[in-house]
Amino acid sequence: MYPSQLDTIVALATPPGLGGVAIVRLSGMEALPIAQALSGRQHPWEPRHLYYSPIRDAQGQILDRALVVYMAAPHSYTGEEVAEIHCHGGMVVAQLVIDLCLERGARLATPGEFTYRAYLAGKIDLAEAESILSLIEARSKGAVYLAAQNLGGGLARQLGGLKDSILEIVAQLEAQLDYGEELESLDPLWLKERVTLLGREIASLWQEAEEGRLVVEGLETVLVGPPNAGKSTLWNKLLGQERALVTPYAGTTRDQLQEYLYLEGLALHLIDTAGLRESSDPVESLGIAKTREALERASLVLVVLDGSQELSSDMSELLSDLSQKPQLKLLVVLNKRDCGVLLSPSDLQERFGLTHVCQTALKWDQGLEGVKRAIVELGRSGREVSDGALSLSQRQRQTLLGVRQAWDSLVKGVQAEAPWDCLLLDLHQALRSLNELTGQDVSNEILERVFSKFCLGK
Amino acid sequence: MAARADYDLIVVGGGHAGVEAALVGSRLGCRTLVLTSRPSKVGVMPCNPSIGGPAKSHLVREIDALGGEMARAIDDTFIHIRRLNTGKGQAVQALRAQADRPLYNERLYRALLEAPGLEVRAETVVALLWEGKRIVGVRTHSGLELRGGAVVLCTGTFLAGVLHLGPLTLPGGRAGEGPAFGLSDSLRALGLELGRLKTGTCPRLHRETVDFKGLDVLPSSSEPLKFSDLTSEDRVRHRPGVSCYITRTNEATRRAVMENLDRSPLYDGSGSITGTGPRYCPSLEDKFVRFPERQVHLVFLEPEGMEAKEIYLQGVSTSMPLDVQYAMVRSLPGLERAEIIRPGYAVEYDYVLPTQLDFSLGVRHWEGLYLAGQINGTSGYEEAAAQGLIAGLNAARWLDGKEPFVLGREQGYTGVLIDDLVCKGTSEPYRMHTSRAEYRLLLREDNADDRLTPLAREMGLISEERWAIYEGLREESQREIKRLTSCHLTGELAQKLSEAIEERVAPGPSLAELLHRPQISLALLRRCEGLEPLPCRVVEKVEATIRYGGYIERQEREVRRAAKLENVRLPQDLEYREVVGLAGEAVEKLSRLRPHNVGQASRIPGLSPADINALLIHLRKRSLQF
Repeated sequence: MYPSQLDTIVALATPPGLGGVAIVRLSGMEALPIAQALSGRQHPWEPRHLYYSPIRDAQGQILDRALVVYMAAPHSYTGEEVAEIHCHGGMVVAQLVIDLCLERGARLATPGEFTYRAYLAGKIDLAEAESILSLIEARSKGAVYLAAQNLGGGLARQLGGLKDSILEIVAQLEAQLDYGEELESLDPLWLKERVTLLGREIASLWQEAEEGRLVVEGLETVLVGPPNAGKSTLWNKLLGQERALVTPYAGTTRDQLQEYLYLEGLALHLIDTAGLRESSDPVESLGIAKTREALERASLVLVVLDGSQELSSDMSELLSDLSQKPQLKLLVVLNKRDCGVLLSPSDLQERFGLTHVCQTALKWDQGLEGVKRAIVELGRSGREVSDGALSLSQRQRQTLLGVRQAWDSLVKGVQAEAPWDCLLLDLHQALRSLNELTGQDVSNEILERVFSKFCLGK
Repeated sequence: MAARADYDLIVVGGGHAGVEAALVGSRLGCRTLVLTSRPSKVGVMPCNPSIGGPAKSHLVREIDALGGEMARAIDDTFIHIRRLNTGKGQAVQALRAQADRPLYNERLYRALLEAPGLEVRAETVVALLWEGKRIVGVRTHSGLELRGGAVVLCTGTFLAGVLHLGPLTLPGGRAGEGPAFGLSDSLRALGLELGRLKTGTCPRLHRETVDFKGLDVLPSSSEPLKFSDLTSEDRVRHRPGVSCYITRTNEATRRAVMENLDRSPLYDGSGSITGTGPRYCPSLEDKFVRFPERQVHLVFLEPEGMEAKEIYLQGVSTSMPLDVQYAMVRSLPGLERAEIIRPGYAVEYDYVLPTQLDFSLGVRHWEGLYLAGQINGTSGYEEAAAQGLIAGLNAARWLDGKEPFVLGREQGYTGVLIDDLVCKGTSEPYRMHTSRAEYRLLLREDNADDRLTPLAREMGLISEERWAIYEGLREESQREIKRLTSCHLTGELAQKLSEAIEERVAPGPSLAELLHRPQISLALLRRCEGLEPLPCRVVEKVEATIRYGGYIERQEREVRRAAKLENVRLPQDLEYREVVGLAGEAVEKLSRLRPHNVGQASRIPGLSPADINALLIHLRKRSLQF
């Protein structure tokens, strides 16, 4: 079902991953009440006045001290009631704030929805609306691409499994309703148990999503390079803490390490990888396989080389591979300048068409600032891909929120011994939430499942 | 030069769709002609002799609420009736009745003969006649050209029908009856795309060769159950009911099927059956092939009438050769000596891809041509009858220059059925299921009259008598609901109830709140209060309204949300290629299906929310320009 124009919608209004301030925009009838609830300010709000206010979560904990502004209809971008929350904590806080809005009844805006509302209200003209729309079309293609990539892991796969389990229950009940005469009757205890069990699964998924909320949030940044060139040292220096095991022996970092790093408001999801070389040690080669996988997903790659040595043929191949990828941002760090210079930045720039090459002696903290500057510069150029990833992860969370709400209501129904046709209302709602990402037709899927599972029909 | 029309409405086919189409035409004062190869076979039940079941009995109630015939016909002739799904929820409760097959057939034939302005002729239609973009009549096999203002095609399985029985293949629409050839070519000449479907039927046994001892018995209900509000309870109260019986397949049955698969036209590799069969009505061959681990399938023995000698063997749809059918049948307990009166067979027939229809069931781009029933890819008597009623109604309204009557998905299963056919199409015979209705809790049997009868009255479809019955039921149930919500439980009544359900009931809450407890029914409550019992129909309405209150409100909210989009009309001349931001797939689908509003567009598989936004912006632009 297509989302209603009556809903209050929410989304990030500023480009993600950039700048120190992130603006969360709400539009619709509930915009002001939600802003009031989050900020705890109940007194009359003067439109277009900035209020400095702590933003609290449901437990009353302060997430951020933000600026909140209210724009009364029709004097707003969309012509509706609009509230904006200017978060100072950057992206992470902005996402938490959006989650709070969702929990208070707002809905994540669909692509183009603010624009559509603005257009309907006559706030922007057609040419503007159409140009924004075609941009959205291009971006949602990017998001589909990302969704396909994402299928390999994490929340998406778990949501798929969850849907399968719910479909199983629905198929059982629907078969009973439409073909009850031909089937063994269903034990009501079975239903109760399944609902309880899945309820637990949903709760733990929610927990995981909460904890893993940063996983696809930052710019996917991978550290790569030959063993012992200084990847782990760079990692530690960037994060300012001893996280990776640093030894003078090649091949130490076998597993991947990941962390989040904020550089001048730019969020990075930083992945340190095993040294890139063929290995006979099975544990280590596993790590190398993971490295290649990480490289496939990366938006930014930091190649750390030992500048005091000749470029190996492996590394030369890697650099020419990476420099072929059009979307990829590439930064080469020539480390160990203190041990001699056999590789010069200008050589590499010419050979591989690189834009950013830094020289460092990380052991002595030399050149670190240059590396940080280069990361920020690269990270800020172009942003479509991380944008798509961001909205995808947020949609997954909204999906899960929808499922959780349907399940709460289902559990109440089961406790009150509501009949099956009523319980199915919640089950269908949960399925619809899960299908919002893919837009599949629920009723058809249910029938498919019923007929593949049961031999029905006289 | 256009000849004067001989008739207002010509209905081709006298099955369940044809009968409802013709009768609604007559009710609205059309000079109506029914053309059927065998008038005595009007309204015959070529498959199982039963009507109803979940979602199907809902359709029957809707037909009744719209003034149709099916509910009254089955009430007059059933010999067995049961209420299904008790305890699973009131929205899915359903009736199923077994008809006395010959009586049902006769009952509908009589209805046609007695209908004012209605004529039945024994003719097989071989072609449509048209002038410009308008259908003006039909030509029959005897060369007769009959002119009519509008034509409703209800050809069932007769459209280029072919029967299969083992290796035998013969043209036919039904056992012993010839097919309708030629008409398919006419439809193609109109530019319509046709597909091919298959369905099957079960063998019939001689009653006296069946040993019923030891079989599970399904007795007819002792309650005075009925489909139509026009049928009095007295009419059905003392009806002598017959029982149905259940037997089960076993290893011998499985072997009989599996060892002879190479002789089944479905599996012999000859590819002689090309039509798609229904998943929900599989042949016994299909059941064993698709579910190899299952040996036991239920088989229902259904008597075909009080006097009839035939037993319908429900669950054994098959197109195996006769000797294999004997082996299958005689492997079943109780049927060791059974004789087959008529073997099962499969039938293949043409259908028109229903996405070429509009929501009135009229054919797009043509005037005066309406389709109903299996020709639209559906299966089932009830599905056919509901469409027949709507197609006949809309043909008659079109002749009168009136807007078509289009039911929404929130208004009835009939609306869901037509919306699904037109928006999504179907590639297998379409059967109604309650799970197809997203507003299932609103589409109950008990409120079919509340949903549809006022609309039917406006269109002149129902009698004063029916209206009075409807108003009586409505007032009585509203009065009771008011009483239950305003009265509170006294100590004395609480005491009585506690004793009755052997559980403590505390005084204080309203009587309506009390009904939320599963153990407390309205009947029990009134008994404890010392009040007269209310009529069944009132009790259903009151209980559903009170017990489902919260859930009903939720669904109504969903309907209101969806209505926003349903109310945005899509012009039929919209050039979808010009809509900026619309994906290629969406352009193709929208141009072909041409939905009437954005709500329908949003249900077309493959359209994304971004497509819908693009569409809304484009519409806004148009409305500003004009």
